[in-house]
Amino acid sequence: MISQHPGEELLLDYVSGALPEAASLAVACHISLCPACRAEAGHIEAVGGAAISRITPQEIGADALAETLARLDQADAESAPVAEKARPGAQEDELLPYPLRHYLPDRLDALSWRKRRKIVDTAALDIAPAGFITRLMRIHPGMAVPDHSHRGNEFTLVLEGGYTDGDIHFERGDFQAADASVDHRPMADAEGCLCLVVLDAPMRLTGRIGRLVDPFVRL
Amino acid sequence: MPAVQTAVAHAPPAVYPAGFPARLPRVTEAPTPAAEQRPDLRHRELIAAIAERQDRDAFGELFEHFAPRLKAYVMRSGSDPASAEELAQEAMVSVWRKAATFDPAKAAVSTWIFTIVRNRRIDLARRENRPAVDEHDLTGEARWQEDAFGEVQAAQEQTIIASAIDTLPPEQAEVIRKAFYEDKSHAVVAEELRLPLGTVKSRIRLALAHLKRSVSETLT
Repeated sequence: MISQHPGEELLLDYVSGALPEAASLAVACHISLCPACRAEAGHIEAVGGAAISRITPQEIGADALAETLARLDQADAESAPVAEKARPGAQEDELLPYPLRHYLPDRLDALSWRKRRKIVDTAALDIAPAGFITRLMRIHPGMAVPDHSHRGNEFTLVLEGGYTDGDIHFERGDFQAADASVDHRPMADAEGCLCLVVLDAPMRLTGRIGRLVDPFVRL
Repeated sequence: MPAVQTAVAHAPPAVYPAGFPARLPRVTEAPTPAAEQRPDLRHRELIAAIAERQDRDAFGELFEHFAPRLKAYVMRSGSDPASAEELAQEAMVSVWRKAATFDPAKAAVSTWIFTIVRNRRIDLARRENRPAVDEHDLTGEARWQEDAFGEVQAAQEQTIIASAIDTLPPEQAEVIRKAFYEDKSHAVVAEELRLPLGTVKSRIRLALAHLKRSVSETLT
């Protein structure tokens, strides 16, 4: 049961188009799994529709319609609306929200995983814009990600298993937003945890040991 | 549809000419939902005519209504008039191509067209994709249970919101306006207004709750 949501302000940023691609991905994946936020996003889209319908129109060129009609022929000549890339057969598909699949190879183990002492494995995904770090993160059963804070924002979406951070338990579909003020230490459940993690700046280890290894272990 | 009704449908929205209120809400008599729905019902017919028989006249009528608004919308986020018009044209070509995918039970035509121009703008301005949710998503537990939302309600929702925006307190209208007309994230809005992030978040939440309440009060 999903209990942790992005909040209306992030949904608004996602719907309005203000959210960068990597952060949008985390929100879109949550919406894929959360009917409540999907409905909320739909309501917010209607506000966007109201924005269009209420605006004072700008005059357009006298030839604009003729030009556009001419383009329709080209549009017709192109293939019909682009069919979504199907990714048949990949075992993990049921696990992976639809928006995420576009960024992944057929199999998760085809990603280049960086393994760290059976605590946490990470695989970087190549997603715009520059400056964002997007990765899949697997926390091994019962293990905790070392104490860390962030220079920016971190968005985490649980894909499988779960973790506990402070008093809150996160499971599949749950969304956690942590900003620079949060210092946390998520600990995986007994079955481990697979998450999508989006950072808009590198994280910073804050524990005693973390500080020592920070330059080397860039989670 | 008789010509007279068409003319009514395309009369400019005289009651709310200026987009979201910049300062004080105007005091107006709210038109009845039935009258407000009419433009959208006409737009639906036009979309259907395009989807079913590639009706160019229908497209022309839709274009005359939306292209000037899309141009205005894109200009609000800083585009020059020529690029904004180009983007408006491209968005209208997408409307033509995607007409068959429009689902009247889900959204008003203007809402659907908003999503098209938004995606085009992101693509053009930032060279980014916009990860989108697909209702054919295979992740089983999230199979969509749609709201019991019929076509009429979908059309009404948007028009009720459009008038309810005038009843928002100015500071709430402002955050909504900046999101949609200036393409700014809530964090950027907070910086710009020199407000704590929490204040902007709560304004957004209050504004959206107010708009949603207006819809549910009118529709039930």
